[in-house]
Amino acid sequence: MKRGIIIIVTLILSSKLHAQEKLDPISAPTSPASAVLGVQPSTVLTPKSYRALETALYSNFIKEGGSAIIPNDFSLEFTPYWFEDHSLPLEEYLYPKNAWDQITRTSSFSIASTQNFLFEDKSSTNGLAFGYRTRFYLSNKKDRDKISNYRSTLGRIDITDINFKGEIGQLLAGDVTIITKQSFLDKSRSVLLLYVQEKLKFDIDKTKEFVKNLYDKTGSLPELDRANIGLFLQGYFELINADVSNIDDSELIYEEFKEYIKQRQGLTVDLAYGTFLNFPTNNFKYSFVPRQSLWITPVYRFGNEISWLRALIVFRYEWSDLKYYKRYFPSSKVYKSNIDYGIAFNGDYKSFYWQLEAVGRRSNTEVSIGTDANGIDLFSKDKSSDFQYIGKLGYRINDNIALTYSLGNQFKPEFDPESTLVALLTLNFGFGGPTMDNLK
Amino acid sequence: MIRDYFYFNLMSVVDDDEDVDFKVEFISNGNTGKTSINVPGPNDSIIHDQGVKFIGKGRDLRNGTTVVVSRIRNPLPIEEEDTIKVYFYINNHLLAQADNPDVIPHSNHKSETDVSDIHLFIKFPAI
Repeated sequence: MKRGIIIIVTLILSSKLHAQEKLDPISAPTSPASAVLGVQPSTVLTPKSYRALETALYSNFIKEGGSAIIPNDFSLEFTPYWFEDHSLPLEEYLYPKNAWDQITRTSSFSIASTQNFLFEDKSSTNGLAFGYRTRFYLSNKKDRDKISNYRSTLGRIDITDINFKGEIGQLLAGDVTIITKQSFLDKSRSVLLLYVQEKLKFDIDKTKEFVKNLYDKTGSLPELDRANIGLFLQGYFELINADVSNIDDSELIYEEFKEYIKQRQGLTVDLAYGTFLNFPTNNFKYSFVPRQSLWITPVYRFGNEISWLRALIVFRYEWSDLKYYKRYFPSSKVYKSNIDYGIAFNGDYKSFYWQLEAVGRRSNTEVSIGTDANGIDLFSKDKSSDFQYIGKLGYRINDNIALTYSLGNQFKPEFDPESTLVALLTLNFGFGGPTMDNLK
Repeated sequence: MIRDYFYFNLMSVVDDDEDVDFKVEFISNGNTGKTSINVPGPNDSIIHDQGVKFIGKGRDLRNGTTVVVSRIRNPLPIEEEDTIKVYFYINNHLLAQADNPDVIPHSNHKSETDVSDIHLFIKFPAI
């Protein structure tokens, strides 16, 4: 997920005149803590070291005088493995040797809190949530071939470039008669001609023309100062790179490679767990664990011509404390456990993103039916099933603004169970740029 | 966008008959790269990713400057790795500048660039 501050403003265009709640994502969330608490914080802290983590926790959870508080609108995510250098080459990063390596590298923890967790009577209480998430990826032959192609193509480009730069460096360092810019340009011309010919696959006439045009621009280079060769070489290489990169596509290939690493072809399984503590009297000594959630989301990304398509199988198990809901949300319809299962397809093309999902729900609960002759509570089992289908279409207006429209039928909400129609237009503002990933 | 980093006046004292090995070691996570070693004379070599290469006897490296150019790419998302950090060694000793005993590990934040061209200009004087 893109780091930074994400502020989400929701504009609702509903066929009904009242506001709808935000949609509950069915796939494993990036921050299980925020998801289980049901909040969308305006800031997400992402410490990159143990010291930064310690500072973030101390400055938010300890107030002046040293007593502990639950911060409002707080969210923090961290992945301990990446706090330190492991001298892990790209090869080992892409192909972990075993499952344990994958678990340690992708284990992330999240904490979220609010001082405005509202009960049914609208009173505000403190809520504190914890989450864990990890990911497994199973590489396949197509993935390995694709990565191998990227690496060998970039490797060939890199060797051509660094051999050229090495020769230029050695020419300048070894020939002390080169004391002016012009003498350098004269003596290095043959090296540059060979480089351009090899790099751009030009014939000799086109190569000469390219170099002539390039030399016409060398007026912008500083005069050669042998006491500061670095400054001169920097300008010289930048000048060449600017013209060469207009013709060859190495930068484009590298950008594609980076994008591919983020979303590799094949099967990925996301596992997440979240739970939260509620303090009904805002006292640390009295708390409930109202709800816990477990997500398992296998995602298959297709390759080749349909690389824009992903298929998701979603599974979520939620279990709730009925005594808590009965006491603080007496008119809500909450089940002891919900099992959500279904399938979704999504993809993106240029600035567009779309998703179709169909999810079933089986709910179980116990209903009190009185007491027996000995005063023992008697319960009967109550089962229910529900179905949700939603289509979403998104458009990224620019790096910081995206628009998403959702239409369909959602699960019966715990409050107002008749309100299942979804018709939701969402405008997302992001600092640091929302991605299609964090808009899902 | 590629960015060039220059380290001049690097020095390693070696004996005439001493084998000289050049080593590249990735420190930060997710690096990949190529290193071109241009020695005086015809025996230039390439290191793929990290590793060690024999670059000649001490006497072969006296007359001139050995110029090493290392291109390090770090395609990992910046959320997972935000730095390119690499060590360079001659015969298992970290490279150092002649007039500065501090070793020079190369390090740059990826907000500067995630494709670093690192230029090392090395002299091999006699003991």
